[in-house]
Amino acid sequence: MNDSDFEKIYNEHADPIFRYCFFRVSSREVAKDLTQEAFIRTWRSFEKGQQILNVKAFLYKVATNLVIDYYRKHKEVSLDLLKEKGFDFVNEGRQAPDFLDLELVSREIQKLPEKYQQVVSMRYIEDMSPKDIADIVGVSENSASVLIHRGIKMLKKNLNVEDLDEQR
Amino acid sequence: MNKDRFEKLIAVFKSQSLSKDEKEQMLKSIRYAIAADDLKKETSQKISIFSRFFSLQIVANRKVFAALSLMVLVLSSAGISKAAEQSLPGDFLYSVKTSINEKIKTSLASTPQQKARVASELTIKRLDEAEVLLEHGKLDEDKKEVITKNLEKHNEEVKKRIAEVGGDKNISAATDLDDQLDLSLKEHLKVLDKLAEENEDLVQTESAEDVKNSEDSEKKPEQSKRDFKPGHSRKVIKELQQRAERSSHRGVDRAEE
Repeated sequence: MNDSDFEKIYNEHADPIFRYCFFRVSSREVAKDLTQEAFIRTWRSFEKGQQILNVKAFLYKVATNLVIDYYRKHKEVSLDLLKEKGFDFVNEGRQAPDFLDLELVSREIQKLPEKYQQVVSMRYIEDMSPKDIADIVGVSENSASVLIHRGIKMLKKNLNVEDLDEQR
Repeated sequence: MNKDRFEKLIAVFKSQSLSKDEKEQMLKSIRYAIAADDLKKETSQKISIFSRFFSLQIVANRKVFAALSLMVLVLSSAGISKAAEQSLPGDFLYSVKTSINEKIKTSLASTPQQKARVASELTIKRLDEAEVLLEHGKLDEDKKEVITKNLEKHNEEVKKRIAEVGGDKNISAATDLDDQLDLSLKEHLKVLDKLAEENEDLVQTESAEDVKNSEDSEKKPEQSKRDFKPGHSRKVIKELQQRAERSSHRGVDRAEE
């Protein structure tokens, strides 16, 4: 892979990977660092001659590992701390109460078990198909669908979201 | 929370993206990190070749071995020294850059005027390094401390040498040196502001400690002189900022004239 191939991959996937990290860590600055590191590691893997058939899946796997490492290294990370470090949504025209709710959603996302956090963010934030998610997570399409369903259900339950579809 | 509200909040997460600048900056940082890694690898390979050579030859003829070792050492050192020039605080070659390369450069300057120029160049070099680190989001407390310590050292040297030049009745040369540094610092106001701004966290804790230290320093004056004081370094940053601002004002004054 040459430099321009890498640039193409970067331009295509930088935003989704950033959003994925941001959804998981709620800090723009931390998400930027993790995104950057994910691309550096992917490049190194290419350099080492590792065969990467699905770059997108590979990038998500690397990003997931980085997020897990980040929480492992920063066990004390709280949303208050993240706020200090830059809990900064792009806030054009947004009212203050939105931020309280966003914090609430972030908190609940981070409380979900790891396996659900991954799939919920891929499904909700990037609108990925269960098949794509299955490829990334390394499970069958069926299992991915189950994980997505359970994860979303758990998140909504924790946030007391009145889900009319599910009540029916 | 109703479902619509929840969907709206999720949409906020969905709408997050990198700005064009952030994206470009990140790509630059990635390229920089990869290049720095390659350089490190190249250098460590050279070192490992040398160590392998060393272990093989230990049993061979001692005179031939000594001569060859010296040659390899000189050649490798030149390569390392060249590679070290690109290093930044935190890189393992950085100490080679500051303790060897720059010391040689300083010692080659023979007159106070040349010494002042070298110290000024090193001041700007440190700020360039801080800018690169800042650009890549890697200007953490440790690296900042290394840079400020060095700035403090260079600043002292500049002042001392300019005073010597002025003391030799060469007032215009001293003023020129002073002005040149001010002018170069003007280009680095942003990073100086950043260094000063980030140092403010330290100042809070320092002010309380200063009272205690002042009592201690009365008891142990020698030790307190040797220790690095972040507060002192902050003064250096402030001093450099003032120099840069002074140059800006001078530019405005000249333009008005």
